Amino acid sequence: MALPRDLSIGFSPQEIQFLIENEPTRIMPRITTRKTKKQLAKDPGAQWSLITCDDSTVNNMVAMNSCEVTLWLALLLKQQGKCNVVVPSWLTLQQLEKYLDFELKNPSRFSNLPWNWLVVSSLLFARCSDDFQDPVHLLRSKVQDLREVRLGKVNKGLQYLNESHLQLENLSLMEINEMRPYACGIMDKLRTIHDSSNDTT
Amino acid sequence: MYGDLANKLILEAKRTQQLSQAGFNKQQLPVYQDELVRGILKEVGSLKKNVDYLREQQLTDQDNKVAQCQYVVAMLSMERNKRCLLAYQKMRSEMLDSMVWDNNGMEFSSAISNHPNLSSFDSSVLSHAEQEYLKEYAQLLTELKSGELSEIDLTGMLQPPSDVFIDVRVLKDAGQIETEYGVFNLIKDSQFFVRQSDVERLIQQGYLQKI
Amino acid sequence: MGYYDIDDILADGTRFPCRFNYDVPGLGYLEGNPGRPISKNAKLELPLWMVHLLAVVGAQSNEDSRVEEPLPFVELLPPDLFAPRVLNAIKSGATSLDLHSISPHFYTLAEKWATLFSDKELSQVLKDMLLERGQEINNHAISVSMFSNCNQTNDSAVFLQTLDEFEKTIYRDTNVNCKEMKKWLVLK
Repeated sequence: MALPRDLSIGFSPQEIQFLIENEPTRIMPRITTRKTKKQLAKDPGAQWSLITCDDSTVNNMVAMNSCEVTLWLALLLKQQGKCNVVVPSWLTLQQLEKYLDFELKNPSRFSNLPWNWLVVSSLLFARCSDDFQDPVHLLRSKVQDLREVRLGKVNKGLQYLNESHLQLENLSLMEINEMRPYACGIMDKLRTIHDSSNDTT
Repeated sequence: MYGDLANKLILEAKRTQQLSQAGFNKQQLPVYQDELVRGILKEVGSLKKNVDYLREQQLTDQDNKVAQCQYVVAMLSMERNKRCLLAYQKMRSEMLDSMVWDNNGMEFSSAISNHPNLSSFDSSVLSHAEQEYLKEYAQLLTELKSGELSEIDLTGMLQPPSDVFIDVRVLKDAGQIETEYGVFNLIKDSQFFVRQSDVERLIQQGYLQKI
Repeated sequence: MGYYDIDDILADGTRFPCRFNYDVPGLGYLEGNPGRPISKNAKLELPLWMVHLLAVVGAQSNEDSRVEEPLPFVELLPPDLFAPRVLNAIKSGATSLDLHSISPHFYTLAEKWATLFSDKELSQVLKDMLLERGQEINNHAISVSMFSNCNQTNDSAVFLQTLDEFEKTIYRDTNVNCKEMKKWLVLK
C-alpha cells in the first residue's frame, strides 16, 4: 500500500538508471581542482565533500589527466563543459561487432557484455556524443541490433522455464528486469502446482 | 442457502478491485454495502443458534455421524461468512491506506478537495467505522513522518531524480510560487525550466507535469 | 493464495458434484427441501469450501472404530472441469483454448483438486499448459505500443477475454513493466 504494485514486482527503469549512475567512469577534466600547499595556505577555498561517493578524486583533478569519478558527476561536469568523458572500451564499433557476431553464432548463449551496457550506452549517446571516435549513428544502430537479438533470445528461452532453476548468464540488469514479473509469476505458479501433487506422501 | 449473501459481497469486492486496477479513478471507492453486511451478520447469528443447539444435542445423544455432519456444515458456513466479511473489509481498508499514502497523509476534509486528483471525495461512501479508521490512519502517518525520520520525505516522489533542472508544464492554475530564483506565476499550459527539488512537491500534487 | 485473497475466495465458491455416504438428517436445505434429511447416495452440487472438509473428515462409527478407515461424509465426483474431454482439449491446443469459459479460476481449482487427490497427471498437464499459454501471454504483453490509448489490437483483445484470473494478473504485470521500459528507452 505504501509502495504501488508496479514498483514492488520489479525495478522501474528510472531506478535502474539511478543505480547505474553511481558507478565509476573515467573522465578527462578540463579544469584543475588540485591545489598545492602554497595555494591552500593562501586561499583554502571550498573543498568538495560528497556524501554518496568518494570525493578525493574530485578535489584532486588536474586538467587533461584522466581520473575516475562517478557517472552522474561526470555527466554533470560534461553538461557544464568542464570535462570530456572517456568512452568505455567496449563501446567501439569493432568491439560491438565482435559481440554481435558472438550473439548470432551462439543462439543459446549470451555474449559477455557488461551488466550495465544498455543504460550506459543510451546515457552516453544522449549527452556525450562528441566524445566518441566512431560515428554515433552507427554505434546506435549496432546497440539496437544487439538489443533486438538478445531480446529475441530471451523470449525464445522462456519456454524452458521450470519451477526450480533459472540461468541468466551475461544478461544485463535492464534485460533481467524486463522479464522479472513474468518469470517470477510463472515460476511461482509452477512451483505451487508442482508442490500440490507432490505433497509428502 | 448459507453463503449466498457472502458470495454477493465478494463479487462486489472483486468489482471494486477491478475498477481500481483499470485505473480510471483510483480514488473512488463504491458505497459501503451496509445491508449486505447486516444480512450476513444475521445469518451468522442464526447459524450460531443452530450450533449451540447441536452441541447440546451431541453432549446428550452420542449418535456421532449425524450430528457431526450437521455441526460441521454449520461451522463451515459460519467460517465462510466470516472470511468473506473480513476479506471485503480488508480490501477496502487497503484501498484507504494507499489513498492516504498517495496524498501525503492529507486528511480528507472538505478544505483539501481542491486537489486535482481528488475531484470529489465523498466520505459518505465510507461506513462510520471506516471514516474513523481513515482519520486515525492519516494521523498515524503524520506521526511517522515527523518522528525520528523527519528528514526523509517518506511520502515523497517514488521516482529517483534525474537532472538538477527540469522542464515542467503547468496543468492547473495555481497562483504564484516563490522559489529562491524568483516568483513563478502558474498559469495553465505554461512551461518553466526550474530546479527539480523545488517543484517536486507540486509535481506530486498534480499541479505540474514533468516533460 | 491467502486467507484474504479475493480470487481464492471466489474460487472456493465454485460448486462441485458430490455424493453423500450417509443418511444425514437436518441438511435437507442443501437439496432445496428444508426440514428433510439427505439420503445416502444423494447427488448434490456443493461449493468447494463446504465439500473440502467433508470429503476428508470421516464419521466415526460407534463401536468398531479400529476396523477400517471411516468413510468420509461426502465423496467428490469428478467434475466436468477436469473431464477427459477438457484434458484432451488442453493437450491438443492449449493456447487457443478459451479458459475463461471453462472456469475463470481454472488454475486455482486445479491446484486444490490436485492437492486433494495427488493427481500427478493433472498437475503435469497444468504445468505444460501454463508454459505454453504463458509464452503466448508474454508475446501479447510485450508487443504493445507506448500510448495507453491504443492498448491492444483486436487480436489481443479477443485473446485477453479467454484468460483466467491468474493469467490476467501475469499479463497486467508484464504489460506495465514493458510499457515503462519502452517509454524509458524512447525518452533517453
